[in-house]
Amino acid sequence: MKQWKLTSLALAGAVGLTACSDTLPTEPRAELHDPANAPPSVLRGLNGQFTRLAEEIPGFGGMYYGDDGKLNVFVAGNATSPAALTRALETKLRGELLISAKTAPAANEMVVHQGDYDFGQLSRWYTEMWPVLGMEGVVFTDIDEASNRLRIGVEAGVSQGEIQEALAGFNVPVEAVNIEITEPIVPLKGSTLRERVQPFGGGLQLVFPNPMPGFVSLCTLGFNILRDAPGRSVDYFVTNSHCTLNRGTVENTPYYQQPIAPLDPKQLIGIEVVDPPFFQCSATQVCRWSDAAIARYETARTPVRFGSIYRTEFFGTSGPGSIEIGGSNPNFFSITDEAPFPLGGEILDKVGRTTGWTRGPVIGTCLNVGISGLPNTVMLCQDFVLAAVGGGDSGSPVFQQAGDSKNATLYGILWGSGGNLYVFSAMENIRLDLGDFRTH
Amino acid sequence: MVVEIELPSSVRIGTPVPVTLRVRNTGTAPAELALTGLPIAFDIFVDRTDSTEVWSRLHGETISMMLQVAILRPGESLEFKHAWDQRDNDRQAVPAGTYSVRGSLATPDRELRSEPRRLVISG
Repeated sequence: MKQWKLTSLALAGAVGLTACSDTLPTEPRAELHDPANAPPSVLRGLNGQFTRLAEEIPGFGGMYYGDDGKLNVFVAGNATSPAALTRALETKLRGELLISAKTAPAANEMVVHQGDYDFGQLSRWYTEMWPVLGMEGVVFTDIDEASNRLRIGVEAGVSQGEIQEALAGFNVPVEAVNIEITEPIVPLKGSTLRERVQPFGGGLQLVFPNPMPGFVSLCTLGFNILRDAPGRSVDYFVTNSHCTLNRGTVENTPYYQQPIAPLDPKQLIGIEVVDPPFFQCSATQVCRWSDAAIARYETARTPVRFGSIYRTEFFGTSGPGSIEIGGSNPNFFSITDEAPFPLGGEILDKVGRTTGWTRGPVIGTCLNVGISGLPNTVMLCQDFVLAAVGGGDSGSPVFQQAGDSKNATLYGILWGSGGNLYVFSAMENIRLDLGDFRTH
Repeated sequence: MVVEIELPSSVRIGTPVPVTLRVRNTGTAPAELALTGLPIAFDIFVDRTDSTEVWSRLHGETISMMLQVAILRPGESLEFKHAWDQRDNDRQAVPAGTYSVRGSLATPDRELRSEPRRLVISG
């Protein structure tokens, strides 16, 4: 049976009850609530809330939502009748006690189960058996409000007899504890640039529609900007113009942050809003200064980290670098400055969804560059860096890390490759095309 | 995935050579195909019999680094076509003779390559 754990409770005040009995199986120990003595997991979160609830409503043994959406409640002992307990609980739920994302049920809508143990009693035993978590093969310990029992997860091969012997040594009755075999919990590796990562910052993957049936397109988010509107600043991001449905025209390209396909409207993060057209630069050619476009973040609640580029675990030079977002602190580069254009020989970095963080020297400056597949089209005054790049890295922010620090100077946006080098549009060119904005 | 190249076995000198590059899912399950470029960057190489390169379609080109991704069902294929004008990388007309033609597609993980095919240009 699926069990919904209550996740967000706020408890305040006390409620008066009509007691049916003066006795309860066990009184919770006063020192249970002494921060100096009790493990934090008993005082905080759901365990802490339910422990305090059991103090106010004797016999309360835990509660959970069943598959049918009904609130199931354990009542232990006869200190409080089930009817009185559920009425008290109803008052709590509709007053100071809030259950997130659920409408508080009436007392007669609750499903009552006869429990064996008051939640306060379970909390006391949970505190006593704290050292069990240090035994080899023990994966987790829990007060299971859905079974009115304590719960210990152990790896396969662990002697349950040894666990039970330990419990007896802590004066925890074995019949109050369920022991179950479980997989060990291993830490996940860090997120990558290609996953749903928040807040949004430079280097993250962008997914957007492709005109060819059955295809989607992938690029990289360059950098966040602020553009001033009357009375406020609005969050946008910059990516490549060719990372839109049609370069050089605004098609309101939607951008998503998600695994590749199908496109999920719930993962929409932005819409293309600025993509300047090419201009006639000779009798036969059209030109632009940058391969850059602006998208507006779409959701007021979108978490945007202004002035930040994701930092991955390590950089590559002629080969790819890491795409895993660094677990070490910080895992962002902070943009603290801009350079209008690079000088030859400067060492620059980029972070892109395909080859990650790569670094290399500037080997060409202010070159006029054609674009494969687009005859008579020229990108004016572009710069070349000798470093690894791959399809999908379009839009990568190009920057220079300040020494070994987290600070970075923003140099531009990557858009192309010719062999073992990448081509980027410098910040001066981007501003020529896109107008005024702030990057830090 | 398998990449195949199709072209006539012989042509007259100066006649454009029609080349088709085809990538096919030869497996039994759908497979993801991620291709670089906008438009998709497919390359065709023409080599002399001593393996020195005469011409490549993307020689000296700057390719947009977008990635275009599709799922190919078993047996499904994509085709890319180009007509080679019998000029080398320096835009000089090539002489009659025997050449080797092959194709490739760049993906983020590796280069997909076709087997070479012989081409005879007759005078």
